[in-house]
Amino acid sequence: MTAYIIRRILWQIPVLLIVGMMTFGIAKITPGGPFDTDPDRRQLSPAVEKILRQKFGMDLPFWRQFTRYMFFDFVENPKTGETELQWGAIGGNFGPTYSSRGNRTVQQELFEERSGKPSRFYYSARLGIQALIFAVVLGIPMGVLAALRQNTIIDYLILFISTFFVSLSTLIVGFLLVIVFAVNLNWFTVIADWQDPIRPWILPTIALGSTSLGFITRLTRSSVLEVKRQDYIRTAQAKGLADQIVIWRHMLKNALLPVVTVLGPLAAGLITGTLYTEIIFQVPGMGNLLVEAISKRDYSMITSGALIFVFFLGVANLLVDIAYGAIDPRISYK
Amino acid sequence: MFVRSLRRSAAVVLMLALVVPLLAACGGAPAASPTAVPTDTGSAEPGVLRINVGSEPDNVDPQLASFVGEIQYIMMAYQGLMTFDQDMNPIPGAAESVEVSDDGLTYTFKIRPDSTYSDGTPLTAKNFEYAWKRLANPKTAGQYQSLPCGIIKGYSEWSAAACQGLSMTETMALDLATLEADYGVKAIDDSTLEIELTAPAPYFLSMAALWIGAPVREADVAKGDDWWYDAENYIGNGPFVLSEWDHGNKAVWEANPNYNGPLGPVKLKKVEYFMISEGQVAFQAYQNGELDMLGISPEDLAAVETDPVLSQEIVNVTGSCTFYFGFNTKKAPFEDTKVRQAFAQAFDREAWNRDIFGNMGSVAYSFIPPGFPGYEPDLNLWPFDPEAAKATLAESSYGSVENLPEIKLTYSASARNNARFEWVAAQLKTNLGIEAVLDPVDPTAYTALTKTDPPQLFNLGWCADYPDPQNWISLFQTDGLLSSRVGYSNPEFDALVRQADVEQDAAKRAELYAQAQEMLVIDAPVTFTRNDGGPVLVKPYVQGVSEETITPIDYWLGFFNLANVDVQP
Repeated sequence: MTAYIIRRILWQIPVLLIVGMMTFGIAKITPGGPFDTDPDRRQLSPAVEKILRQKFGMDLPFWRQFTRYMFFDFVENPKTGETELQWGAIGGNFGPTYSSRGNRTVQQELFEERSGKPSRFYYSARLGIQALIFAVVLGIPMGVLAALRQNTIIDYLILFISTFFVSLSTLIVGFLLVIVFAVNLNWFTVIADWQDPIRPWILPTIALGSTSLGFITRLTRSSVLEVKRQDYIRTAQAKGLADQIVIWRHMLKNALLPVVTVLGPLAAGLITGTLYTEIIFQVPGMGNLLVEAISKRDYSMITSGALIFVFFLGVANLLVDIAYGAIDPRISYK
Repeated sequence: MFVRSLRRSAAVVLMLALVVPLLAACGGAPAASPTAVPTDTGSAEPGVLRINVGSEPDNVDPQLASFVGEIQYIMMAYQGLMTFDQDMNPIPGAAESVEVSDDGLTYTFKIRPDSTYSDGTPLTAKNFEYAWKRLANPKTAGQYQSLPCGIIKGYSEWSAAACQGLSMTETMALDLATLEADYGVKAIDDSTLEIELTAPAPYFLSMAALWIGAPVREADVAKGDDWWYDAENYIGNGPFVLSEWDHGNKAVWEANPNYNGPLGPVKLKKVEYFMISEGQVAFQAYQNGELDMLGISPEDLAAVETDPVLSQEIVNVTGSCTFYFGFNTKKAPFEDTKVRQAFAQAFDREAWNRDIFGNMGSVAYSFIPPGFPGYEPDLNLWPFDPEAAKATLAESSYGSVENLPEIKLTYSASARNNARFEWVAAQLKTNLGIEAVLDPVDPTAYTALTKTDPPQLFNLGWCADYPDPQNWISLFQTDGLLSSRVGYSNPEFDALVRQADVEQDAAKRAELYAQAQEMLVIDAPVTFTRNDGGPVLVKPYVQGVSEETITPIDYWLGFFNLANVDVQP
């Protein structure tokens, strides 16, 4: 098991490298650069642009820019004038952001807790985890219930609700929640006050979790339905086991495997920031920042965003695989 | 069977019960239905102004920043030597008075006595010397570093990279200490700052009002590259103090008790900047009484105008930008002045502004927008006239539409722009019989393209840095910021502008710029189409914010009218 986990973690390294290189490369070959914003205003003078390109190492050949970002490079310290070893992403240094004119680094923007204010990562991760819990805690029981009461009103109702949420984008659900609960009912404010520890989190959690909720409900339902028809369930019932035991021990344990499978990618997506929810509810998270980085051609931010997402995807998938072992005795890792 | 179908119908009823309220809410949203408008004052508090600034600024270091969203922060916290009055004339700001020598070369600013920063430490001429030196220092490499090139004595020499195009290595090899010593900005004593220019530049007073000369303190800057990121370091001499900056969420400003400049005494106790990037959310927040002012997007305009409450809260503002079609005069067929003029005549600006922009902003036939010094309302040489356009085209070297090469209309791609430029292509088709090819380009790539390889026919704008004709007309000198994009060069025009830039007699100077502007419109390297601006929503309890008191260069509506702005719900 330990060997398996270590092997899996090692496999992450080439994956991250390839993703990093592809993202960095695609960002770089896309026309336009970080100094090409807002065409209707005064542009950087070509001379200043040249200085900045030099400052960000954009005058270097591509491979050198990439290795500087990803691994390390020897860079002159502007304060002392000495050449020093500077680690790249593998050393936790994702580099300066272009949009801040190099005044701030990617890791500061995403992970730094400053003056008692949580980091952007905190907001995205907390919201994602809450949404996931919301979706799982409501979705699995709803799915099971619908399957056990197949073709009853309860089933139809649950199916309807879940189909409704799956079909609607987070954007629409988000707006609906704002209009109904903030504007019409006045239970919340449209403008989020993030000093409040609970209130501002409620609507975005529901909005972000809604699609996953619908998805998990439907998946659980169909999975339980399939298991329900299996011979071993009939056997369990025939030998006179109580319904509760049949459901918990025989049905759920088997039915939840596919649900656990999707939780991995779902979790990675939710935790690394989701654009619409963050925009509608003004969550100061990573999603908005990473998407804006694309139009700003903030190369270091774009590549770091991809790396962080892939990292969490890897971790989540690993956790899922470990969970498999716990749920399904047929699966064992060597 | 019967029971089953009964259950089914019950389910259907339940579903409907669930969906109908949601759908109703859905329909109510964009239409801004009056029933959705709650009590008028919402959660407004006396003396607290709440506005939406859209997003978190990337950098608010005065000597580095350049975007409106960034300047909006700087000008709250800091005040330059000068500021503007409501007619956009430069007036003393942190300076009490300014004296210009007879030759127009030496500006002597007297700092207001007993001036302090918001934390009570004294503000002296030395602070301004530091800021103006920091702007010029080649190590700063700010976005606006090139603005004072050739204007302040010794600036171009010291700021060699920005002004002369030297590489950083070459610049660093210069004798920087001597260049700094020769730089024309000196604090004579604690209350006197002297700035020497290389040539008379009457617009320098406007430049001295900009954010680039904001008196940042050396001790604050020394705290690190992102010193400006913490509210406690962002200490200035402006009308407000940044008391809280919750990044990505809101910034809270409190009135600076030590402010002694012309924008005060400030009645507002607090200004809150919110960072709501989605316009629809901000619109809901305004309707819910959580914002006191709001810009209207073209999509919402119709809903606002038909709403009995919102339509009463509209205030019209003029913008600071002029948009134009640029003709690359290095590419066929636009090397021919007649072709450019024909295109200028064939474009129905009235319809463009009315049908596409819902009359937000105004129609433009010349460069400088309404309200700005140098605006020429009567300079309308190319009124919409398809027949005249065809005649002009016939006079060109191409003779007729059939002989023209393919016309490609390049624009910055977006859902809005795709529809807009379809319309433009239809105009060319109807009025000139030209089948233009649409060429949408990713916005960032588009900007790069207009700088490096300007397309044959493109759409751009220019927004004011400061209110002086020099900030507009001079950009079309040979190799100027805007002329280089269209390859325009007219020695006569250049001579006029050069003369105007140094002319110290205000009336004569205005006359020279007027002549130059007319020449620009005749030569038509670009054809002006519209100015931005348009309605914004202002709650009735916000005082002192009206069409008369808003200037196009306000950092938020009514900023240069601060002393009269108040919130009294």
